[in-house]
Amino acid sequence: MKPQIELKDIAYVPSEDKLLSKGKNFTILSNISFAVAESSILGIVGESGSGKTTLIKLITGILGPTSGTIEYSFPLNRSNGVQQIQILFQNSEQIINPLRKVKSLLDDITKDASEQNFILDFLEIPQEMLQKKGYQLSGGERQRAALARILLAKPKVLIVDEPFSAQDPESKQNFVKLFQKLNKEFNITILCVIHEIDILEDFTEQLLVLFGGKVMEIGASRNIFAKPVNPYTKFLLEAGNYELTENDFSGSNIRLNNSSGCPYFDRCKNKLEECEISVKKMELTGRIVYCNNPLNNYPGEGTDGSLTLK
Amino acid sequence: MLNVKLKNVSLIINNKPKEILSNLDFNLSKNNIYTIIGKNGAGKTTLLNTIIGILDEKFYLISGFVKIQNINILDLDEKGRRILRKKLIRIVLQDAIGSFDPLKTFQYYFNLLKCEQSVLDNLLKSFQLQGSQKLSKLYPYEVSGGMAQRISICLAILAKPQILILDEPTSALDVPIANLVSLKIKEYIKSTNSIILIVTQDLKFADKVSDYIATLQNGKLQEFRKLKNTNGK
Repeated sequence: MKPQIELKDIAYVPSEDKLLSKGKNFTILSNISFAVAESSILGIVGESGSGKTTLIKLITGILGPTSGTIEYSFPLNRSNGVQQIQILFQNSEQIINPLRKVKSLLDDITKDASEQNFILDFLEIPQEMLQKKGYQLSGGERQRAALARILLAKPKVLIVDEPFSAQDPESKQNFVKLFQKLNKEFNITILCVIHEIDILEDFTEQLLVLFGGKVMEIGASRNIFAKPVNPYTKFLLEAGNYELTENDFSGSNIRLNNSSGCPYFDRCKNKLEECEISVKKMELTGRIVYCNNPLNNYPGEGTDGSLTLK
Repeated sequence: MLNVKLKNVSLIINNKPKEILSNLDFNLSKNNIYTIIGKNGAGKTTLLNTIIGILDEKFYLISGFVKIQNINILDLDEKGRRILRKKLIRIVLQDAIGSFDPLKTFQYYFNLLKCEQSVLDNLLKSFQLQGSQKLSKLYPYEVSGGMAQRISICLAILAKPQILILDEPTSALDVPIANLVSLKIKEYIKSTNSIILIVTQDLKFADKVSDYIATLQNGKLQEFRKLKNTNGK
């Protein structure tokens, strides 16, 4: 089956000709290739500053890649001008116009009352909220109102950028359930940038691990959680389990500008000399790993053949 | 003697019956890290804003007293509050990018520091950031949310405040970096005998970093509960 979205060798370098960006050219993303299947849930994880938000901006077309192509199995814009890929932004303060009524925000997309009611019921938004203005809503209510507006646009792909960051544990669980329902009942593909490792395993089907602007590992979440192959993935997934010391972060984290080497080189405990110069791409059962010296016992190499793609 | 003391602090929004904070009563003493947890909308950030005295009294009615080093901040005028804050307190706000002036590069903030460049560089690097030379050319909107959060924590630490307040310091950080932040905060308190007050939803982070934890619920704060085995004390 043709993937819904396919990224081929994407790189992003902020353009230099802009007045303000004088002399700060550095590569934010390079060598990014992966595909997203229809109605799947992909989690995007990685260290703060590794390019997660830039990646989703590229996928939605807010930014254009410096090189490489992104192919979609559907037109980005419908004939009525509504985007088929919608983003729910991280910042709940700024996603809703404080001076407009919720009703009028929804009317922008469609005035059809039955459609609106259907979505409101689905999101468990009380009718009274329609008459409130943006500034009268709490953070959680704002997020729900924004989501209602997004869903009225009937997107094929929904991108959520850290939707759980300022939510209490109970609301987090509710949001996870809600997104899963959206995925199942409306066949919406969900791409989710996320930091909470404990939510990831149950929530996402596929996992993309970024570090320093490059893909480290991509594959079925369950497999990656069971056996991370890339040393950074292991470090990231297990970081919550024990007290780290400063030694775990020894070495600098300076981006290797335009280099073909591994960005995790300085901090990696499994590194080989060649890692500074080049990284091998490995295709295992149901996942792709970029690493020259992967961790032991990875699936597909005989020792444990039980892990296959879902 | 450095301490922060709240007595019978209640807060309502003018003309509204509901108390947002009711009858808060606690002391913070030096050498300790205090964490307040609570649900969305429980009033955590409002509590912090009350302690540092930045709520506009045209809209908020605050009773009780907030004593910082035995000075009631609620008695001071705007100028007095500013002097007190400048002398003693640094706060890292929840919206890190928005807490910087969008028209100034980080150079502006680095210039305000009174420390040597090497000290700044070392701290930035230990937070897995690039050196000050590179960062100083960037505008706040050119860095990621997590980077802005880390830079803002670095700047707060380098000002060596006696009271450091962090509002959701890990909201945009991945787990390893959040761990690193907790390490650095503990290091800071050991070297300075200060008070650190954190507000967070991240229970794991709270567990790692705090000496005392309390929950804010319906405007009421439980007593601060001491955690065992923290910071090797």
